[in-house]
Amino acid sequence: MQKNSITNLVIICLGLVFLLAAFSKIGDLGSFSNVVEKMVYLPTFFKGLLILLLPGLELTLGLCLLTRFALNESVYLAAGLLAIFLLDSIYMNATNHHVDCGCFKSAVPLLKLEGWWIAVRNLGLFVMSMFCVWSLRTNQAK
Amino acid sequence: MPISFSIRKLIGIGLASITLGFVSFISQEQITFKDIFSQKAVLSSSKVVDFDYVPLPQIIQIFYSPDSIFLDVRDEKYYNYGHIQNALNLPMSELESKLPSLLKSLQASPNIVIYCNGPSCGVPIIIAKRLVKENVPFNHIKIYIQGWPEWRSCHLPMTVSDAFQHDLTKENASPGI
Repeated sequence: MQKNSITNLVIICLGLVFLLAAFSKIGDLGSFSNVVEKMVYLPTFFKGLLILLLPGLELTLGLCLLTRFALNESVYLAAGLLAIFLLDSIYMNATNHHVDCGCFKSAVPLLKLEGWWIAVRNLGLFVMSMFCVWSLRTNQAK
Repeated sequence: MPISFSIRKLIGIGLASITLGFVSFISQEQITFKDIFSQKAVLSSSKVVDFDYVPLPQIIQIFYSPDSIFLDVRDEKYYNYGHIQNALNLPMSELESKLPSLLKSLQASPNIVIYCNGPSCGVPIIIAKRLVKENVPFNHIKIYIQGWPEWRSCHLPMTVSDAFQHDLTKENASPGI
């Protein structure tokens, strides 16, 4: 019971984080496109797709997590997305391209970080999502 | 036991994402559909924080690297008074007349450093955005925000006028704006 409460709380937190990230990108797509432009390893076409689709995906996942609609699918997709963000932040820091993901902006100062702290933040979010995956799997096994 | 997925729900999430992505995109006016698949997206941003703001140690490295270009965006009289060695002068007032002749070398340079008279001067951002519009790669542009005052105070390689040297010998150098 306690584990379920924690899982629910983590799911709500992740949902809010995704909504916040989506709204900050939608609110200033120009700045987000600047950030994407710095992802030197991505071809221009994929950068365009990212600018176009990522805010929508984050918004959908945020809403799904908060309303618990398609929960299994949303949690797995969220975990996958956060894994990609984590790898991106590690790569960008390791190659000296200190770039924030463009999320949050100044909306939540605590989440607006620089350098390796971005990777730490993404690691924290990824761990949260993996906890949800593990929790949903064990619940289903029962 | 593997978690159960519904393909229909996954497709639903995908379609909802694409729809919301497009709706949010067409409801904003910052960038156009054509722009996002080119580097021109950066132009429409109202924010200026995302250009590379490069500190002095890195600027010095760039200074000694081949093919780097330094752009001094102060007015000509301040540029003539003293500037970073080999820097080109591209003030706002002469942007339209000078830019075409510089464009080819700017597009080919891997490092373009734009500087002005310190953090209070916003001209480098305007020039940087203009360069991106002219297809200068976004990633090649660096903003040296501390600019001329810091460079001069560190006695790094400069090209200076007689007036500057005169002022220096009198230990009465002007602010160098």
